[in-house]
Amino acid sequence: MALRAKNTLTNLSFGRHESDDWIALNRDWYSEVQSIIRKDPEGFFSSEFLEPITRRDMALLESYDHADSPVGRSFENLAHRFRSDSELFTRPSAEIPKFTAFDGKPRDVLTAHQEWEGVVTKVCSESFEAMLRDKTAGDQESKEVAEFDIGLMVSADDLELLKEGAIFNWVIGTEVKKEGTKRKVSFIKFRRLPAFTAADFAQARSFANEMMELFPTDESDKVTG
Amino acid sequence: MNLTKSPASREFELSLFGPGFGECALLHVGNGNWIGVDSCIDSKSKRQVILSYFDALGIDPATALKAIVVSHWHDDHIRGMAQLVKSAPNAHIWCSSAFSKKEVLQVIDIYATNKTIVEKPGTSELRDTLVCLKQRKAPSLRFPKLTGENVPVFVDEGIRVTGLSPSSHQQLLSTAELGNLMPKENEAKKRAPTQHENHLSVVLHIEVEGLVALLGGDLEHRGARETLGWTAILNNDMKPKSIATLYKVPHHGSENAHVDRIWDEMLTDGPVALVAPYNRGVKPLPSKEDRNRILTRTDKAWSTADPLLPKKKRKLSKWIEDERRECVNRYRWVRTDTGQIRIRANLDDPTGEPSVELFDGALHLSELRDEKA
Repeated sequence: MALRAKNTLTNLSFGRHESDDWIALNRDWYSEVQSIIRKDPEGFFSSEFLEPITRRDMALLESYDHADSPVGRSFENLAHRFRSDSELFTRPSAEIPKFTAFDGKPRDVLTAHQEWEGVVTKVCSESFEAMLRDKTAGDQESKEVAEFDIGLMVSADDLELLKEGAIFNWVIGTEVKKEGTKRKVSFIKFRRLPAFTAADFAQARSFANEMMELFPTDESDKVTG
Repeated sequence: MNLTKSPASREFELSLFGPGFGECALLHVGNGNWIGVDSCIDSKSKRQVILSYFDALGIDPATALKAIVVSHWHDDHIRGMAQLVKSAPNAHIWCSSAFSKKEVLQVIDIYATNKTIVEKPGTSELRDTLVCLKQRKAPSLRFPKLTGENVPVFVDEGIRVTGLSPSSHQQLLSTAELGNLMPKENEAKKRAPTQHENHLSVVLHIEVEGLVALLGGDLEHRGARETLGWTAILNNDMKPKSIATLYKVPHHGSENAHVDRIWDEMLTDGPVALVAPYNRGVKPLPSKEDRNRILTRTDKAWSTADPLLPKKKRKLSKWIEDERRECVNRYRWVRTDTGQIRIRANLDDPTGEPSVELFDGALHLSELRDEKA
């Protein structure tokens, strides 16, 4: 089931659709994703699951951002909405919103040629430092470090996300405008990761309680509540 | 030089490894007793470097390692720690008392279990290490021991390994600092922030039959505050009095860990100095100024690697390379191979000069390349 849903997700091309509610692009896919989320929400939002989509469609979604499209939000935003909107999980299938078909109008298309995942390690007043993992090469660890100019590389929308530990994607690619002109582009997009939830905090408390047993000299410090 | 030759029973060894993914030290204090300090992974072999070295020497870590010191959770000091602890079931584990506090344990867990990030943070390794300890059967080996000022980490006939830090005041402050890293509910997930100032690090004074070494860890200087950082150690009248001839320079040789009084009061003139560079920042350490400062104190100074040694880069299209260059103020590839400095000394000849052996890219400190302007 998970594999099928993953394949469906991977095969989903945002470029072929124009919709007020992209969740309803494919009813079967939507049902399947709901099922996966119910069973293993953390697994669904794991990078292993989302990465095939984010890697390929990140750049395209970015172009939608510029075009002010109704689907013009990063996949992370939408995934976050999936997770936080419990009403979606309980909505009867008959109420799944309708979507409008792609209208066939030419659109800007952006192709990512090189992509890194960055982790912010230091934020200064005008610049920030990051460790970079080459996603295009499939690296599993950071092998590059860089300092970026905030004014040059961070969009106004992303400024509030620029914090130590924040994750972003850095894409170098080409953009073909709907009029046919082509240009090189490079941009940074910060990921809208799911929020820490009450369950995460409960798990952390439980872990702390369990591990406090390793420190018997500190009995007074047992976790309560 | 023969990397695979084990030290003799009456031979002291101090090996410093770095900067693969981090740094760590290994001590042979005689009679087949070894002590590990921190942990790192060799990026090429993906193996924990102490275990890899033991393989080369034909030593079983399960019986040889008597103590492992976990100084702090910075990525460059803890990678592979769980693997090391698992392979050394008879080693006592030493860590800061900050890790015994509920708020810090919660911080460790909440960042460790974040599945949205591919590259795991140091908290993840620390969590795995604690879980590994919990599974040990013998209570005496299951419970971590807490380091601090003047705490004996390993004692045997003629051997005394003493923890000199963190100070009690420091542990209180650090517990609060670490607790403050706890995210707020509904805050977006992120990688565990780094504790930039490194105050929890464990400094060790090692005395083996008259041979003395000072391992400075990553401890930084906190100015004249009597109860913090290096000043707390320097002002500690109860610390071991013997003067060290071997010195692991703290915090990659950086200026913020340099104190003249360490060189004047705790080390002999011209000691053997060992540096593990830091290569995961935009500005690698030690800087040219750091190197010069150390070299004015001793010409017997060695580095585990040259962080600016040119690395064979992945080939990008020229236009992508040009675009990349346009976007960054500074940029560099990180060398990830692990070098080793090995010091050995005959315990039956305490006046003899210890031998210095360099492996896998380790070099004299004066040979490090300068950063391009």
